Amino acid sequence: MTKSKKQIQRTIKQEMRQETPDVLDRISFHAIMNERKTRIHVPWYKKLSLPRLSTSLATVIVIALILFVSFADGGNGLLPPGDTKQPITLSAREEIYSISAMQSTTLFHQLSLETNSLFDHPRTLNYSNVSTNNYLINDYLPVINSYITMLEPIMSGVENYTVVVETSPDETYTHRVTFQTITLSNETVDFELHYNETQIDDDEFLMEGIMIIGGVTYQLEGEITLDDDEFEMTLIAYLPNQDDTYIELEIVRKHDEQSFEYEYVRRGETIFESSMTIEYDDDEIVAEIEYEDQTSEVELEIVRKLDGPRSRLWVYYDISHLDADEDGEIRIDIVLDQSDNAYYYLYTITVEDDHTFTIRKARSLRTPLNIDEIHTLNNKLM
Amino acid sequence: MDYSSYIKAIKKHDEQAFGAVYHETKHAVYAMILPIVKDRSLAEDVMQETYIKMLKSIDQYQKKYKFINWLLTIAKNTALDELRKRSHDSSVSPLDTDDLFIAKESSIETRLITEHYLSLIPDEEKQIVLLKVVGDLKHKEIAQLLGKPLGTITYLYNKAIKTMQRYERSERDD
Repeated sequence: MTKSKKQIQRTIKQEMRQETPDVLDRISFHAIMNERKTRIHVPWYKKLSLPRLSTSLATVIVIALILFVSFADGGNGLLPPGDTKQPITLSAREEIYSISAMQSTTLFHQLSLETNSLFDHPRTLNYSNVSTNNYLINDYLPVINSYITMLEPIMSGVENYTVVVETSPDETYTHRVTFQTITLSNETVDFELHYNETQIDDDEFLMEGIMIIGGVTYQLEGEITLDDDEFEMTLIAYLPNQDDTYIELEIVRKHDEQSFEYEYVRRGETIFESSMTIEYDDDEIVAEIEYEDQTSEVELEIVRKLDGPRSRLWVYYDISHLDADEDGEIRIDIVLDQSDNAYYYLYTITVEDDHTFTIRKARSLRTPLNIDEIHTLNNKLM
Repeated sequence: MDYSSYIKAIKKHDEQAFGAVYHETKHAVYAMILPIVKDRSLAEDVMQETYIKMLKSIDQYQKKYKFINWLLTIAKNTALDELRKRSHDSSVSPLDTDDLFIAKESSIETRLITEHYLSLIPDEEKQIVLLKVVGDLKHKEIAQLLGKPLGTITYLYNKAIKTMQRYERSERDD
């Protein structure tokens, strides 16, 4: 069998790591640190003998420049070197609650709609067979489709996200947040979050509420810890009266990076765990996902590329199941089915042996369109 | 790894903290240096110099930047400086571009396979593959280090892996 991407990576990693030399004994730690300590450090501005007035003026100019740069990038602070674009900077608590609620309930919602055969009847065959199209990817498409549905509002871009905060009309809750995102097919999707918040410490809050999505109400319980522009948020989403089946999401933001960890529990049993990071650069958005269930490990790289007037998603996947490995790539087009005026994902899958096939998958995020909107979007995508 | 507490300890002359940081980062540092200097023993010297520079300039490190990126930038600059020095110094013998490996505990077969994989791809892709696979860096970190767009890094990495897979397939078909 041809080596998969993961096997090649493993071979290179194992071999090259053995080759890494060990130079630690050649570094005289204390001598270097003592030399550093005894050297008197003279700040550069003290080395210059400027008249007092010029020094003050120079200081004011420097401060003005720093303030200008800080606000020029949207108030998010100085960009680290090499960064061309900021990630979604979730600073306000309501934004953090909104994003985490949207992600967890969307993923949960889509997983519920998909067939559960993967989880109820795990594959026992430990090979992928081209003659019967018995590829591992077929088993994991429901999971991939769920992530794609969840990520689509994020993949459409940071600027397509608006949040409105107000008092909740529901007497049970204090706050209501309505937010709208735009999908890759230019549909708007509305989310509504109602919640109460309790402060338990200076930087620590509890949140409990509901999220309404696709006409279904999900219960939410969360906890957030904030520290300057860093935070940790944990949120559980579940259906009322079914609290043994839920998604738990943890978002951690540190050092200008955000990571997302998911755990899907069904009837009290962990079905899968996954972690995700999202990176932005110019016209590319890349989500890297590592997923693990009882029998498999899956690595996904989901890339949104702009291709003229079209938006496409690419997925590079790598599946390890029991003794079998499989990798490949998927091109995802969003197509309109005029018979029901619904948009679907069209997956064009190319497995590592160059075998290609297509599968259509439903999207659960859609709102009814009028006939003019359908024609406009149809022309754009075809 | 969260380096902030280790950096604080290093500044207080904690040698164990430095050892922990060294062991956590050495593979990534080596993966950064080797494709530039293309010589194992020179890469060793540059590695040593990198960590010495890191210690000497530890007070200049700012928390808002990722520590591993800061360290790998020092490694890259040190390797390029060494390369420039060698190209100007005619008394120094040319780099031995074949000497990337020494015999260690690994089998000769896997060593030869790895050597061949890396010989199939250009230097630019080699560096990205080593930083990702050996150094465990993310694409974004590599993009920042090399000053290239993220999409380019993702594309070049996948291109390199495909080249190796095509080689594998042709070996199997033969």
